[in-house]
Amino acid sequence: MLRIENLSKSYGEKKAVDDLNLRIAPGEICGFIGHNGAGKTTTLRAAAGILRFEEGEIFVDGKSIKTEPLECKRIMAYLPDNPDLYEYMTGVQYLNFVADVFGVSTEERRRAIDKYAGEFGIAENLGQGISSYSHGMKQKLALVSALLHKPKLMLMDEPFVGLDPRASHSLKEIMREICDEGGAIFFSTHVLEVAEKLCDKVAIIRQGALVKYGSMEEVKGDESLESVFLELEEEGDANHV
Amino acid sequence: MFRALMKKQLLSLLSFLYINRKDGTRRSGVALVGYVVLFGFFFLSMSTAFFGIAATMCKPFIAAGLDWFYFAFMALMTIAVGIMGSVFMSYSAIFGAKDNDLMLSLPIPPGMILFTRMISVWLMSLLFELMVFAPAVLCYLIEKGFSGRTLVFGILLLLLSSLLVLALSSLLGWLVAGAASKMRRKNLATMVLTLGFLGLYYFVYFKMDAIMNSIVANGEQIAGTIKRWIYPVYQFGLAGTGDVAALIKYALICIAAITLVYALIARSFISIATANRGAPGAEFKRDKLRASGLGATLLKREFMHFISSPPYMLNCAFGTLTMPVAAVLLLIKADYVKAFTGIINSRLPGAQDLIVPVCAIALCFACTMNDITAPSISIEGRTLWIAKSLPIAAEDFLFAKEKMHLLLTFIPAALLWATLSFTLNPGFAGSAAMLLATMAFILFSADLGLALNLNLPNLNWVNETAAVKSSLSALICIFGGGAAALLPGLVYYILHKGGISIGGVYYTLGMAAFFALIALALRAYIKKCGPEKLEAL
Repeated sequence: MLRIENLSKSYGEKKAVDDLNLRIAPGEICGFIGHNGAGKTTTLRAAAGILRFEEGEIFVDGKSIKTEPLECKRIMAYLPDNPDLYEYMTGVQYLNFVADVFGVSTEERRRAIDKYAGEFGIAENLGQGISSYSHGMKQKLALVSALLHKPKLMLMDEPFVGLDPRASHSLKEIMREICDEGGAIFFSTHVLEVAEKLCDKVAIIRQGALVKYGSMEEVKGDESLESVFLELEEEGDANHV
Repeated sequence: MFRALMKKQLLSLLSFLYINRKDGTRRSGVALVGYVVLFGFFFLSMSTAFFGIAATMCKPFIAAGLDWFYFAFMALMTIAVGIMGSVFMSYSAIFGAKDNDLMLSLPIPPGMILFTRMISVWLMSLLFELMVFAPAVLCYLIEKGFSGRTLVFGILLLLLSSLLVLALSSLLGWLVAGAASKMRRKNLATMVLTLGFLGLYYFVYFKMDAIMNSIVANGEQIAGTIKRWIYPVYQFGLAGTGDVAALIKYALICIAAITLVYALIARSFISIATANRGAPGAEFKRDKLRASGLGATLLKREFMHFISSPPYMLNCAFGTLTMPVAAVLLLIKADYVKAFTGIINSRLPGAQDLIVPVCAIALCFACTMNDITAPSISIEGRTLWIAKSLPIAAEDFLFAKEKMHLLLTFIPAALLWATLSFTLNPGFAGSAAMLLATMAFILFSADLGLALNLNLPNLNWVNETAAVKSSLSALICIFGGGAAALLPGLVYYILHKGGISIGGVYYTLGMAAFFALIALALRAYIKKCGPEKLEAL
């Protein structure tokens, strides 16, 4: 569903992502972990078609994000780490806008909003201006909008930040549901326990380069994901010195 | 604690001088000096204007023995200017301050937070009052001769008046804050208030001479009214002439006013300062979920953004409001305009032929008041990721902005065109040429703004007003558009001097073709380079 080949992206002199290769098949949830500034957001933004990259290729369901960006975007959804939404709209106006862009029918959008807004507990707030929403409510609204068109691929940057326990639980269930139906999810997180329980695959990135990638069992073996991650960090620090 | 709070308030008050709001960096020494000189120049210019007003009033009233009325009149002006200069600040600095939650979470008595914030408003209003009252006292001293007593009383009156102004502007700010926490259509209210204020400003500006003459002519009658109905102002006037009892009475009034207002605001400060600034929750209606096409939804989004932002509406679509007003005025003054053009035609041979191009140039120039597309990409700010992550073609996204510009400019311009055609009757061909030239110019200015903003975007702003007002693309669009609108006039003049004569209708059609061609070139540029430029943002 998502194929990243030799992706490199630099900001001036600094290489944010360096020759990154990754492959996520339908039905897989892949967790993306790394320290702050490791290159997670850059990779996700490049895969979402928001950020231009110098080298490499990204394919979504076999289509190149570089040459067929609209076709790729039609089957995926992106959730940023800090959902800055249109504050001049109400929740329902925003959902209508996103649904219109994806060409979701009236009936279908009503059904989806009833389901997801109900699960995340924001149905009552949809008539309010987004400017009055808390961070968590914006995050929930962005999630509902991302699910409206039944995406095949979801790219999410720290999706659990700001969510209350109930909404976090709902999101985990929805993520599994999407993958059970043949979708794929690639998300970054700092909550390693969540990644360990939820993900089929895990990718660990350090200073722009992928240092470990594979199925959860392959990556962590008998250890906890946290121990593996910390060991890799220490190794990296030692090599750096 | 008080000193620390005051230091924070003063740093915040003066931060615009040494911090560049655009990128948060510290200004250089040269820039700082430049700002100080600029503000000094503004202060002196305004003081000079008020000195002119004071000089007009001073002599006749002293001659009529109405010295107190002179001071009373200048007091009213001082109070009015002081309130105008501080009322907006009183709302934002006292109730809408971003650090209200932080300050209230610290072990500081809320009364002290309120007190220090009111002091910063007081300092700002004092500056405005000084701009009016210092020239008034100076004028009186010149007219009557220097007197230490007048000078001391003047300083005391200024300080006391500043307390009265602080009380009134804080009260207004308190009312606005209270209303804002309950109001649903805040943007509309801001828009109406701003337009009302602008209307009043222009009315007073254009009628200033008549108002001054009327005050001078009816001085005694107005003085009687003030004496009867505005007691504090009367006491101020008397105190200005050196009356100690009046000064004491005025001082008591001012101190009582500020004490009462402080007590009133202190009671509700916490609840207002921590109120949720969002609109009250409207009920979610399921039937509002309706599908519409991509083009319609993108245009609707542009309009939603537009009507949600008073700075955007007021700065970039002023023509949408003024062109219909000009059309109505033109209809009212139709006879005068007809008579005027009749005189021109009779005295200048060939002037009849100029009506069409001159009207077309005037229409194009009126359209330059709208530069809606010029900051339209900048104001997307941090939300640009949404459009970039959704399956929206860059072309559709950009041309939705152009469509809004065209709609908001063409409809009022068509109204003005219709009244011009009706009033001056340039014939069918002339009217059609005028309309075509106007339409082509509107398309040109919309695409110019868009092309400029694609190249000169400012997405890193804190306040949307900065994206609208400090936009280089908007600045170039206004001045460049204005120059482009006037260019055909200059070319016509050069051709005429060179002995080349082109009929007015044909020339206007040429104008239309010229602007249409540039607009098409700009459109082609946006289509070709727009997606890449947008992707790079």
